[in-house]
This record gives sequence, C-alpha cells and structure tokens, in this order.
Amino acid sequence: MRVIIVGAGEVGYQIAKFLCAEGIDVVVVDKDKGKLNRIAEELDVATIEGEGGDPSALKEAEADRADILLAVTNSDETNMIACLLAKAMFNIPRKIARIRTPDYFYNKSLLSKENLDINPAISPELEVAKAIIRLLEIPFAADVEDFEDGTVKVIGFKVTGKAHLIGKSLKELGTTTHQKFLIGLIEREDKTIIPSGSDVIMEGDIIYLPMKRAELMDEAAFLGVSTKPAKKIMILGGGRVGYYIASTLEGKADIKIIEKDAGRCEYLSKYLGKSLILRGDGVDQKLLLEENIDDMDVFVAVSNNEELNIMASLLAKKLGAGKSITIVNKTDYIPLAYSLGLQAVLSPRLITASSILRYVRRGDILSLTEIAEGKAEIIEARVGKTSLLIGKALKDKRLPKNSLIGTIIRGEEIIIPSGRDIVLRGDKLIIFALREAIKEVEKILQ
Amino acid sequence: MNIALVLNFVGIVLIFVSTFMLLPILISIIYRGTDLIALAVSLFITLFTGIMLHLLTRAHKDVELKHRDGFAIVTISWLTVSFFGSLPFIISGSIPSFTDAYFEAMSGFTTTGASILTDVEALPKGILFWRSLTHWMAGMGIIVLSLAILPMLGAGGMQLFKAEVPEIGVVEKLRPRIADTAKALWYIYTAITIIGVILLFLGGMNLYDALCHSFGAVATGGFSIKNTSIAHYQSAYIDIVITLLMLTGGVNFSLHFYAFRGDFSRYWKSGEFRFFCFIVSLSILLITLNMMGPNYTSPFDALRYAAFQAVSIVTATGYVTADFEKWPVLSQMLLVSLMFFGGMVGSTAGGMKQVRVLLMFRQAYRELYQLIHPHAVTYVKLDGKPLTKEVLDGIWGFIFLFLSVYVIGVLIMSSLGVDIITSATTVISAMSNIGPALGAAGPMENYSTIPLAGKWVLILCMLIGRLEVYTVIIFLVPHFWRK
Repeated sequence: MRVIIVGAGEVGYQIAKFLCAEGIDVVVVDKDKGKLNRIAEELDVATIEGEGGDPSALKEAEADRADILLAVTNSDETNMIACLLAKAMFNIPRKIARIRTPDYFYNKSLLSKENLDINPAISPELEVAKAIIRLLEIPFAADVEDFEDGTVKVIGFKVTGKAHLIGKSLKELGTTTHQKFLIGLIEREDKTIIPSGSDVIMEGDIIYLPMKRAELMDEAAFLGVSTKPAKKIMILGGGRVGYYIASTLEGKADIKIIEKDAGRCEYLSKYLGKSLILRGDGVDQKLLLEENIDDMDVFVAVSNNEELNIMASLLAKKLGAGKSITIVNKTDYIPLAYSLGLQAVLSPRLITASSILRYVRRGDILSLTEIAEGKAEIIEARVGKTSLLIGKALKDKRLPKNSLIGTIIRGEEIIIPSGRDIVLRGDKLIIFALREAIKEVEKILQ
Repeated sequence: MNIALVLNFVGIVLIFVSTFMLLPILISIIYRGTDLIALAVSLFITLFTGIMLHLLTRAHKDVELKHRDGFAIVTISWLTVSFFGSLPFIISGSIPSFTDAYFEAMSGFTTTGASILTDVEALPKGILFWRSLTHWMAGMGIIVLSLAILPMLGAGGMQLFKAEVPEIGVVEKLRPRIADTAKALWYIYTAITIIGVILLFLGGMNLYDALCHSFGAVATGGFSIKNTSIAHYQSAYIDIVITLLMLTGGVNFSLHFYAFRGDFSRYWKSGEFRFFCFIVSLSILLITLNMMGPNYTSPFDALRYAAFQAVSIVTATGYVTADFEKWPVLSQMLLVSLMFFGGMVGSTAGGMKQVRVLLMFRQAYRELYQLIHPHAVTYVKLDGKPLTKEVLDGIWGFIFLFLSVYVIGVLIMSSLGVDIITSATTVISAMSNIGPALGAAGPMENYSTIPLAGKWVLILCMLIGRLEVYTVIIFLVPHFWRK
C-alpha cells in the first residue's frame, strides 16, 4: 500500500512514523526543505519538495499509484486543492484531509463525493473537543477511547496514592475481587507493558481497561473512584476547542469560560447562551478564587498557549479544582506535564494524527488507535475466515507476544474475556498491542 | 562511534561475501581446477569470522545508527571485505605476496581493475572468476546489496546508503523504502548483466568468458581474464557490445529504473545525461580525427578503437583494445582528462562524476553573468530546478578534497622514485577506479613494478575514490573521534 502525506508538520510526521512502522510505503510532500530533511533522516520514507497544491509535486510523488492521500498541512485551502487534484488528476481512491474552518467543515456538499470527495474531513479542534468531552463524561479517566459508538470504552486510569490496587499483582486482584476486569496495558514511566498475571501495579502507572458502558459504575467501584460525570466545568481558552466543548455540554453542565480577548468574549457570549463568559487571565489567582475554583469538578485548559495551560492547570489544582485536563502541543511536554502531577494531558497533534490513522485501514483491521503516546495501539479487527484463533479458548491459543485480546464483540453481545472464552468466526476483537507486535497480530487474524 | 554496532554490521557483510564465494567454487568444480581447496578454505574463514563478529556483538543491535557509525560501517566493511577477498589469491598461491593480493582484491571491489598480475591466463579458472565477481558484487555497492536483502535497518539504512552512494542532493530515492530502492537497483543491475552475457555469448565468447567480461563491463570494473584484455578477441562485434555495456554502467541507474518501467523520456530530460553524451561524443570525435591517418587508415577502425577507449576511460572501466600509449599526444591527454570526469552520479562508474563538473561549469558561468548584470537574480539549476547553496558548497568541497588527495598522492608516489608520468596518471587512475594509466602502468603493462609503498598509496586512493572522498577522509577529522 502506498500513502501520500501532504504536510510534513508534527501531524504529518506522526502519521508517517506510524505508517512506516506498519510496512506501508509513505511519500511525504512539503514545501519546507527543513521539515522534509528531519523526516528523511528519521524515517524510511520518500520526501518530495513542493507545494501540496502543485500538480507536478504530486506527480513526482507518483500519486497515480497511491491508495490514500492524507492532506494535513496547516492550510485548509492547500489541503482541499491537494484532495481535488488527487481526485481529478490521479484518481486516488481515498482522500482524508484536515479541515479547520467550520464553514468548510460543515459544508456537506463541498466535501461530498461529487465535489471534493474528502472522506472524512478531520477537524483538529473538533477531535480535541470530542476527546475532552469523552473525558468529562468519565472524570476519573486520563484517556478514553470509544468503540462501537461508545458502547465499549477503553479507559486509561492513573493509579494514584490512595488506590487499593497498588502493590498487587493481577493474579491477586483476580482472586480478591469478585468483579470481572481486564487490564490491557500498563504504562509506566520508563516502559509500556502488556501485562500477564504476575505483573504488579505500582503507584503512578496508567492502566488501560476495556469496559462496557453499562458497567461503568462497577468498574469505577473496582478502581475505588466515583463515576459522576462532571457537572461544574471551568474552561480556560475560548478558542474553537473551548467553544465546541461548551456548546456540546451546555445544559448538561455548568460551564465557565475564561478568555483574554474581548472580541472573542463577545462572540462567545453571543452564541453560548447558557455559559458564563469571563474575561481575564487563566493564571489570575483572584479571578479563579472569585469564581469558586475549589468547587469545580474539572478545570480544562485549552488556550493556544501550552505553557499557560500547564501553569493554569497546576494553579487550579492547588486551589482545589477536582481534576484538570490540559492541552499541550509539544509531545515532549507530555511526560513532563504528567510528572508535575497533572491528571490528563492531551496533545492536539497526536489526537489529530491518531484520528486520521483510524481511517487508514486495511483488510481485517477496522481501526488502529494509538495510546500511551504512540508506544502501543488498540487494534479493532474482524476475525478472518481462516484465522488460527477461531474455535480456540484464549488460554490455549495465545496471541503473539506483547499483545492481548481486550474485548470480543459478537453481534450485540460484548464480552470482556477470560481465559475460557472462545473466539468465533465473524467476531470483532479489540486487541492491545505494542507496536512491534502489530504485524504478527495481523497475520494471526487472517 | 559505536564499535560493537559497526562490527555487527561488518559481520553481516562478511557473511554475504562468503556466500558469493560459492560461485567460484562451483566454477572450480566444473573445470576440475586446482583452486577448489583454496576457495573452500577462504569461504570457511570468511563465513566463520562473519558469524563470530555478528554473534559476539548481537546485544547491541537495538541501538540507533548515528551518522558517524554509517561512515565507519561503510569504510571498515570495504577494508575488511578486501582483506577476506584476497584470501583465495593468497591461499591458492596465485598471488603469494599479501600486498599484491590485497591490491588485487581492493582493485576488484572498488571496480578499478588495476592488476599486479603479469600472466593472467596462468591462473586457475575459479580464482579468475572470483576476481571478476568482486567487481560485480561491489559495482552497485556491497552495502546497497546488504540493504536489499536485509531490510532490518529502516531509516538507519539511509545513513549507510548515503555513506556508500553519496547523493549530493540531486538524486532521489526511487522507492519510498530504502530496502525497496536497493532491491530495484539490484534487479536492474542483474538484468543488464544478463543481457550482456547473452550478447557476448552470441558474439562467440564461451559462457565463462562472457560472464567474466559482462561482470567487468557493467560494473565498470575492468579485470579481464585475458592478458591482452578485450583486444584478445579481435572482434568488432565484441568491442561494440562491451562499449555499450560500459556506457550503460556509466549512466545513472535511476534513469534505467524508469526505462525498465517504460519511461524512456527520463534519459533525455536529465541534464547530466545530455552533458555525459556531449562529453563522450566530443572526446570520441576528437580522438578519431586525431588518429586518422597516422594510426589507423580506415575511419571505421579509428572510430571503433577511439570509441572503445574513450568510453572505457570515462566510465572508469579500464578495458583496452589498443595500446593508447602509441596514440598521438592529444589523444592521450584527452584520455587523461576523461579520467577526472568519470561517469554519471548513481552509476557504477568512478571519477568526480559528470554532474559535479556540469554544475561547477554552470556556477562559473553564473559568476561571469553576474559581473555583467550585477543586480541579476540567478540560480544554478539542474533539470529546471534551482539548487540550494548547500548542494553547490558540497560540490565545491568535494572537488577540492578530490584534487587535494590527488596532489598529495602524486607527491608521495614521486617521492618513492616513480617517474612523473606514471605518478601523475596512476594516482588518478586509482582514484577514479579506472585501471590502466600511462608510463610504467600503461595499457599493455601492469602494476607489478610499482614499489611496495606505492601500492599501498594506490590501495588507499582506490578506496577514497570509490567511496567519494568524504566517507573515508572524515576519519582524519579530529571531531569525528570526539564524543
């Protein structure tokens, strides 16, 4: 398979890195030689210097042989032109683009098959907002991924000082609680583990658990936390992300937005009837206290300034906010921010890359979701007709090393499996895997 | 520099080289040669060393390859491979002296084709086949071959690829993946070689001769299995076929890649190709005119020998059909000038490469142009694309280093008592990986009379030239050794 990526920024880089490791041929097109050089040095991909909207650059990238074009430059117009060229000149079957401007993004006919034929368009701000909303519904999680329209969720949970899980091996936990649970992945400071029964949970781990939406309460009880969705939310930054969150949750929760820019505040108060718009600075202690920061369930920092987001989240936490969700752009900051004690740190670029990658699917793989900063994946896949897994109990037919079946979806039925469960033909599986194991997992599924 | 990682990869390269030794063993069995045991022992020693190196340094495999490791791997691989490649010569007693055997092996692997043997035909067939095979294995690059077969390095492979096949900023990757690029190059290379074997076989060579000479011509090596090189066959057809094979080997293989895909227009679209054609045609024309009358009476003969020799020298092959030392001085000087030019970048040929000369010419023209129009905004372009200053600086640096090494080499050679013509031509012949020179190492002589130290100077020159100067010279830079 051959994929052309237009745009060599952070999103393009992350996608290229992922696809390249998957064994897909990748060609990256960008006009910035410096960015291309960085990619060519670090990844085994071809690079072409040129504008994404320039037919000759795409021709040089042999676009006529490509299966997918991903347009992820910063400019909506360039992305759309690239997709249009891909359609009109090179007949590339699938085009996925990053589209920011709501006027384009919501224009169904513009993006439709007859016109640009972009399927799908990904709005980075909307994806980030969705990721945050998923987190707000399950406040105790550090990461939430939805499958099957949200009926199955994979939740990342940060194990903190008071959790009863600490120091226990998975085997012990299995015997001491009567609840059915499964831990698909443990992310520790220095390593990422697909656990077996003998692995012990330590303080500071982020554990990933697949669960049914219907059983959220039980799972929360198991983890020793409460499940109430956030009712009182303070949002720092009234940009598009903040706006999307507020407009979705208005009515379900009390929302306060802090925004520095007067014009933007005006816009927000015009279109968000039920939210409280505050004009001010996110690190203004007085303002936060005045607006009862200690009473807030969640503090969400989504301004354009990542350093400010980190500082404000720390401040909010110190002043007594229940939980913080922080947006940082630089991926290098994520582990740093976690080590400062923040609970949920998201990178818009990783989220965008990851939501685009979900659509680059092949064969029996329905989607791939990056978790733990890209060190591991959640694979959503259909069991092939001739798969070696069929008819075997999980304890008899092990998946390749460093991978694990987290959920079996059989029609309407959702099974969080134990060793006795059997995989049948036509099942859909949710599998946890470290990056190096993905190839083998694919093989065994077919 | 990560020694363990470097040795690990050198081990792999040795394992590859040892498997290639099976071919001369097969030849030796077919011809019932006396060299069977020597070849088998060489294979065993090389394989064993390779496996040991690879196994003993295994633990370090996950470490990331840095730029300097790439240079070290390539240079050390070539040095080591030449050592193990010389084993068959030494063990069989064909070339008893170590220096001579190492010279012959390095000359083979760098596709130089300079020989210290006075009577080539006296050697057993298996050994001679190995000698020609060294050309072919290394023509496209030993490391490139390893990358094609072992896609283990990922992006790290690019470092190695660049260290062995310097790209000078104008060569593109043929396929998105480095392993696929290496594979594509090798398929084309093998296909051209097979076509060469068939054509030579049709011209009356036996299969063995056809193989050896096709290896030598497509890899632009130049080892012959006959004492009088291609002149032995006295056949115009064979001369023409070999001329064409050498030309093919001297052309950028990425152009062949597109041609194999059906896109022949790329040849003429390439400015370097047009320049190459121009230089070759002009040299052939001048030499032919120069030789008409005094040397050859028939214009066809003059053209045939002039074309063969000019192509053989410019592509850095070094096959000979005539004693060009008897040619007029202008023709000899033209041949010596061609020695500096070399073939196209991305080909199997040596030398400074046509594109560098072309771009420096354009750069010089631009300087003149700016003197006339001081406010003009102009760029040096290649195939319609403006080149960055970094690319041009890199070429200036390359040409300066190449010529510096040349001057130093000539000085050392002359200090060893070698005469001026021999010194001046053997060093460039070695650096451009050609083979024959003028004087004591002329087309009808060989390198056996060069003093011992002179042979080592030339060995180093061959390696520096083959790896395009930077990859070897970088070891002399103190910063390379600092952490």
